[in-house]
Amino acid sequence: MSEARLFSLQLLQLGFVLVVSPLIAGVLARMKEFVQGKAGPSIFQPYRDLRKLFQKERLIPEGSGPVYRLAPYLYFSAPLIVTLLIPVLTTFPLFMAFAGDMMAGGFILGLGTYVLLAGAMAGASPYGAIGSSRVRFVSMSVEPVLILVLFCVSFVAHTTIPYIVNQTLWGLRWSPIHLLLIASFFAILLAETGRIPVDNPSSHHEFSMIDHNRVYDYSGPDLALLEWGGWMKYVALGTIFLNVIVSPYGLSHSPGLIWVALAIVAVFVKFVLLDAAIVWVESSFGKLRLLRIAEFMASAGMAAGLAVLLGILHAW
Amino acid sequence: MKVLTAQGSNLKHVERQHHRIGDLVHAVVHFASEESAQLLYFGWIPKTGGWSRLLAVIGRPKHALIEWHHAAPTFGQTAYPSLSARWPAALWLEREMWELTKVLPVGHPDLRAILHPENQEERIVVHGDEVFQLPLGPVRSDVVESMFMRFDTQGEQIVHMQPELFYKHRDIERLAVGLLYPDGRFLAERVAGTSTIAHATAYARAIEHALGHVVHPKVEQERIVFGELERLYNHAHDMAQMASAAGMTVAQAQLSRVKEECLRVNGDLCGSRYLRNAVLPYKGSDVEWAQVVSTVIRRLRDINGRFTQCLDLLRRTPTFVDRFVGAGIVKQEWARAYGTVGPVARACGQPVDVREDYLRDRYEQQAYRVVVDEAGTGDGWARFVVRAGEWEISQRVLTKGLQLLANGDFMEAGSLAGTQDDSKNDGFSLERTGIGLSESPRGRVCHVVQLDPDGRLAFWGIRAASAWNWPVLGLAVANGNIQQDFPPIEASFGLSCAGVDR
Repeated sequence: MSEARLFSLQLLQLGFVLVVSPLIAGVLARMKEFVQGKAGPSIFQPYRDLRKLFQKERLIPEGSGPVYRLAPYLYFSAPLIVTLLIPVLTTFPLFMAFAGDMMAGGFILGLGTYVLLAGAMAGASPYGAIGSSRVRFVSMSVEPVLILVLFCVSFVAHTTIPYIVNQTLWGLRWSPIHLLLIASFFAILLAETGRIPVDNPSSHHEFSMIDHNRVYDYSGPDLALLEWGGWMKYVALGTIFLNVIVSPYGLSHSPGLIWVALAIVAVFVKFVLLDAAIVWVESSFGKLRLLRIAEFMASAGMAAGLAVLLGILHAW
Repeated sequence: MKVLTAQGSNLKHVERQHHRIGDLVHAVVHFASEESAQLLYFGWIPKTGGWSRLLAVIGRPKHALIEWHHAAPTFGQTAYPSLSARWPAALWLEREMWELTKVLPVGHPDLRAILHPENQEERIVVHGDEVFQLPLGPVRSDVVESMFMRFDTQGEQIVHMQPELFYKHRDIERLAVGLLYPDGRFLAERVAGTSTIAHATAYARAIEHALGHVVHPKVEQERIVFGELERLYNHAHDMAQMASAAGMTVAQAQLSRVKEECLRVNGDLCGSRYLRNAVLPYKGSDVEWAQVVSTVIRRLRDINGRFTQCLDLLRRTPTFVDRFVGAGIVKQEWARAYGTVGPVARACGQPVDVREDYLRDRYEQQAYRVVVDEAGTGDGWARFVVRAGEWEISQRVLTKGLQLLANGDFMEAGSLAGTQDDSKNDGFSLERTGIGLSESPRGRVCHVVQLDPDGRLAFWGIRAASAWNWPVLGLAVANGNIQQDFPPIEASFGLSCAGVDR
């Protein structure tokens, strides 16, 4: 395998996340409307939204400072950097695979989240600050679960490099450890991407929103970057969930163009299935009261803790 | 004291004229402690070129009485003892009266301008560390009416909330002065679009009362049927809002569909989805009941099936129930002191209902029953349960009422033009003055009218249901709830702004 081929595959991964993430979000939105008995917007609507927003004027509140201006760019780039570290299309490690492990991926995504909430605090709307404090609360409940999941992964796989973890976990195929990890990481995915039962993405009520409150002040291209960044974050976390935690099934084993093209299709289909699972959750549960989110994440934490225990027993 | 028999029911109207306004307030305050007494109307009645007397109408359903207390101010009087100091139900009313007449209610705690919220000075109630002021409105996301709410929060905890309304103030009451009474109903129907029938009915009843007219029973029967049709779509809407506030998107879509189907039934029945032109003073509608009743009943049965199925599923969804149980509790003493009406009051165990209190003889034959939360918890869940119960009763009343209309049992009751009963005006010192009550989906609607000898409106007072419930929302939201509880609480109250703002 030539370096150039690996490098171009790396670029292809980036391109996949960049270009396909709005489509995946569009499919999710359309499915959600379909379940409600509505026709729903086209699955290409997110692209149109992006085009519209990029053409609009950028309004910046007075005295908002550099953090506010910088936040959209950092929030946008964080999921792209994580994409370099995780197996999006191929089972074999690419150029940057060993530059960081799952922990680093978590930190980079966390940095994007942090910068956005600092930016929201710097804006003029009081809702930005509310959103930020609520996001902090959610992250506070999510982090211990994430750490437990990583503990378990490192116990079982003796590493936290995603390209290796997925092979080891797939070796455990549907064992209790594997299932518990899937359950707890799915809860993390729901919480971190602001889906029901943690946050209601279709709500417009200022007082109940968590994620959307943070982008209250942003407009035009800034808002486009934030929306796009949010979709890519969903794809990055979804990739970790689908390709690392659940199964590397469908990924390409060889750098051949046909195999990679097939992998693109396979990964997209996996994402459609993930979208369906999320729609199923969103249409059968209500949004939890803020303080109940801690309880929800605690149950995910229990599952992760149990997986750690089983992992220790397994290692024995 | 003069006793007069009222139109078409065993309700008695009693007039008490006081020499001074202070005496009136003293007499009215006495009713604040009477278990079932209701403040139906409180306000100034104008005389051409000035405000001539203060009128308080008290309903005492236990005694089948409506008491009219009124008193003229002495020459140049600029102050009177405030009623709201003793009966909080009058708080917003007296603020409005003060702004209109500049006659000072002495002892009123908060006399900021209410009719012009844009000029209102800020009143900071909560002081201390970590107290954060959070404005909401008047332009809000989603499809909601314009209103402003000022929240004082400490972290997520809501410490205090003041609603400020009247952004939709159209001054309907004074716009109507000088109109012929048949024209006034166009305005009555537009006081609040979602309570078209309730306001049109109250207006028509008030006009008929003022002129001593007794309408044919069939006309009253139509009003009952239209009123229940209005309740159905409103309750479906409120339930959809509650589902939406809890993030139940599928339930929201299903309930919105139920609402739309109800609106279509209305549209097919009388040409207006919001039932305009259906209730008129003196007259019935031109619906040919015998031809449509079976279709309407069949369609309502379909709708009912979908609605009850959806509610059953919601009742079995813990994440939905959890958002409402214990959220936004209205204590029974608040409900009593603020004169709360409608499902909000009935969720507190207060059987306040115009249909039961003042129109029982008309609703009795349709197996009507007041739905009251027996435990009187007064939380969001109790309001959900009360609305669900009312939907069921409404279906029953509608089915019976429609059958009554179709079978034409009214023939022996005389000509459809109704009859004149002039006894009402004999000796009543408030001439050509009448009161009309109806139960809107949100509670009691009360109209007081005074006509001049040509049949033109000289005075019109409107008290919509939400006017009694809005002040309680602040209390219900503040005590022990967090910010995220606000959307479910607001949805469970199901308040309207247009009716209050007029």
